[in-house]
Amino acid sequence: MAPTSAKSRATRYSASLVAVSVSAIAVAAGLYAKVPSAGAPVQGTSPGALTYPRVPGPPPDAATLLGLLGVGSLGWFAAAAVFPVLMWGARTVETRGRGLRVALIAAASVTIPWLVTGVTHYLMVYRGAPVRPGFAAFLPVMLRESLAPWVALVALVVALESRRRSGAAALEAERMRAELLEQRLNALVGQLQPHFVFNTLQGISTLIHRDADAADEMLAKLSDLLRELLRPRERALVTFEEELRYTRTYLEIAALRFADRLQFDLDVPETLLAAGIPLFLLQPLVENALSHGIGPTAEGGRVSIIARRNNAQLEIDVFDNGAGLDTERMRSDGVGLSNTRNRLQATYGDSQHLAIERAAGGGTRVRVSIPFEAVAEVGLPA
Amino acid sequence: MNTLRAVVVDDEPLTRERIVSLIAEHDTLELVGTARNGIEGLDLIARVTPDVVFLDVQMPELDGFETIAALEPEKLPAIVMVTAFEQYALRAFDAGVVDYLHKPVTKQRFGAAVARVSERFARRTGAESMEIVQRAAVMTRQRGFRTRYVVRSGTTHHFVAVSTVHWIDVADNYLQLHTTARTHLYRGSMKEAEEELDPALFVRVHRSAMVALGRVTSVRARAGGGFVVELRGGVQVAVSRQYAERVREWLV
Repeated sequence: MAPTSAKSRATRYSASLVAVSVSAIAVAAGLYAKVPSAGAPVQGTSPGALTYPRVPGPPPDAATLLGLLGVGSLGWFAAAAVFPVLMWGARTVETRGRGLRVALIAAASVTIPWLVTGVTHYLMVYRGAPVRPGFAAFLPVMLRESLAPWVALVALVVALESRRRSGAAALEAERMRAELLEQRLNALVGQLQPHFVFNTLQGISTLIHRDADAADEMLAKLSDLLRELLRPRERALVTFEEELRYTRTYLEIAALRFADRLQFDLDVPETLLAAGIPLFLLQPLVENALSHGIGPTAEGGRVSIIARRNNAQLEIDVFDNGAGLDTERMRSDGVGLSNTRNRLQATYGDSQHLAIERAAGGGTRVRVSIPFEAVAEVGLPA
Repeated sequence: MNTLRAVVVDDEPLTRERIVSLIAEHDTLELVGTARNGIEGLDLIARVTPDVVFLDVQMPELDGFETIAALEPEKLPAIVMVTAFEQYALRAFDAGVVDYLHKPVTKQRFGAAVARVSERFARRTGAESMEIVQRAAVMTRQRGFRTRYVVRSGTTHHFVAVSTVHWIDVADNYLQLHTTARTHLYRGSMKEAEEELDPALFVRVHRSAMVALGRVTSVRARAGGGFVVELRGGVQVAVSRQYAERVREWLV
C-alpha cells in the first residue's frame, strides 16, 4: 500500500467520524422507536428542577425496558461507537508539529457526537410531551448529564495512546541505538585491515611450533586489540591515554611480525593524556606509516608518535623514517587518509588540520591538529 | 619422484619461517632460497631457477602479481600463492593455474598444495606458462597506468620509473626504454606500452615509437614530407604518416 499523506489521513478520519456520528444517530433512532411516548406532563418541569421523566402506567415489558436503557445510556453507546474511530485517529494522525490542528480535530471528535446525542436525547425524552422545557434551559442540564461518557472516552483514548506511543518511542530509540552501535562497530572493525589480522594469525601459528610462550604473548596482544575494538562504547571520544594504549598494542604486534625491522617510540607528555581524541584516530596513520614507510624498505625502520600542546590545539605527529612518499602521491592523497580527514571534519569542523609532509630526515610525517579538550572521565568499561 | 627445488618469497619473517619449516618436513621438497620482497624474489628465481615458488601476494615494493608478471614464461616455476586475505583477486586471477594457501597455513593444506604442484607441474605446457604470466600482467594493469618497469640485467632486477623514460622504441620482442643514463630492455610490445602508459604523459608517434610529452622541445616538418619530434638532449624521433594528425593537434 502506498504511504498515505497526512492530509488524506485527516480527510479519511473526518469522513469516518461523520459516518460514526450518523450511525450513532441511526441506532439512537432505532431505540427511540421502542420507547413509549411519555404522553403526560413530566413532574417538576420547572426548568431549574428538571429530572429525567418517569414513565407512567404499568411496569414496562422487556422490550420497553431495553428501549429505556438505550435512551438512558445513549451517550455511552455513542461514545463506545466513537471510541475505535478516535483510537484510530489518535494512532494515525501525526502529532508532531501540528498541535493546534490535532487538538481541534480531537475536540470536534468528542463535542460533535456529544452534542448530537444530547440533542437526540432531548428530542426522545420529550417526544409527545405537551410541554417541554425550552432548549436553552435544557442545554446545560443535558451537557452536564451526558458529559460522563465523553470524559471517560477522552481519558481512555489518551491513556491508551500515550502508553502505545511511549512504548513505540522506546522501541524506536532502542532500534536506533542498536543500529548506531552496529554502524560504529563496522566502521571500527574496518579500521583493522584483514592483512594485519591474518598475518598476525600466521605469526602466532609459526610461533606455536618454535616458542609457545611467544605465541601466547602475540595471541594475548591480538586479543587485547580485538577487545578494545569490540568493546561497547557510548562515546566516539576517548582519552588520549586510552588511544595510546591501543596504538601501542598495535605497534607491538607489528614489531613481532616485522621481527627486527620495526622500532617504535611514543613520546607524549603526561599532561596530554586526559585529552579527548576520536577513537582509533591514530591507528590508520600508524598503519599507513607501516605500509608506506617501513614496509617497502627491506631494512625496516622506525615509527614515532610525538604529541604536544600548541595553544588551544593538541598536535600529534606520526613519523616514519621509511622510504618517503613521492610528492605526487602526497598531492593525490592516495595514502588511505581520506577516511581520517572525513572523521576529523565531522568531529571538529574547521578547527582541525591534517597535513602530510616529507620528514626532515627522509620518510613521512603526518601531523594531526585537533582542539585540546580534557575528557572528564576515562572511558573505562562499566 | 624427483625432488622439487623450492623458494619462499614473503616479507613477513614469521610466514617465511613457517613455510620453510613445512618445506623441511617434505621429502619431495628441497629449499633453495628465501627472499623478503618481489625484487629479491625475481633475482633469486633467476639465479636458482626453482621448480616451485611459495609467493606472498601482498608485499612491499613488488607484490605477488607484479612478480609473476616479471618472470620469464619459458622458465616459469610452479607457483603457490600465499595470501592473508586476497581471495577475490586470486579468484579473478584463476586459482586453477596456480594453487593458493591462506594464512595461517596448516600442515595438511600445505601437503595438498605440494601434491597438486607435483602433479600439475609435470604436465604444464608452455602455453599455460605464458597464460599465467599474461594474466598476472592483466591483474597489475587493472590498477591504473604503469608507473615503472621491472627490468632485468643478468640475474638482477630493478625498477625503471616511467617518469625517467624519454622515449621508447621496439627491437624484436623488446621495448627499448631510453633514459638519460642508458637504454633498458623490457619484454613487451608497442601496443601493450600504449595501453599501459598514461596518454597524458606518453604519445605514440610511430608504429614503433612513443615519446614522453614532457621531453618534446619541438615538432618540425621534414624536408621529404612528414614530421620529426625533437626531444631535450637532441634526440629526433620520426613521426609516421599514421600519427601525423595527432602531432598536428599538439602544435595547436
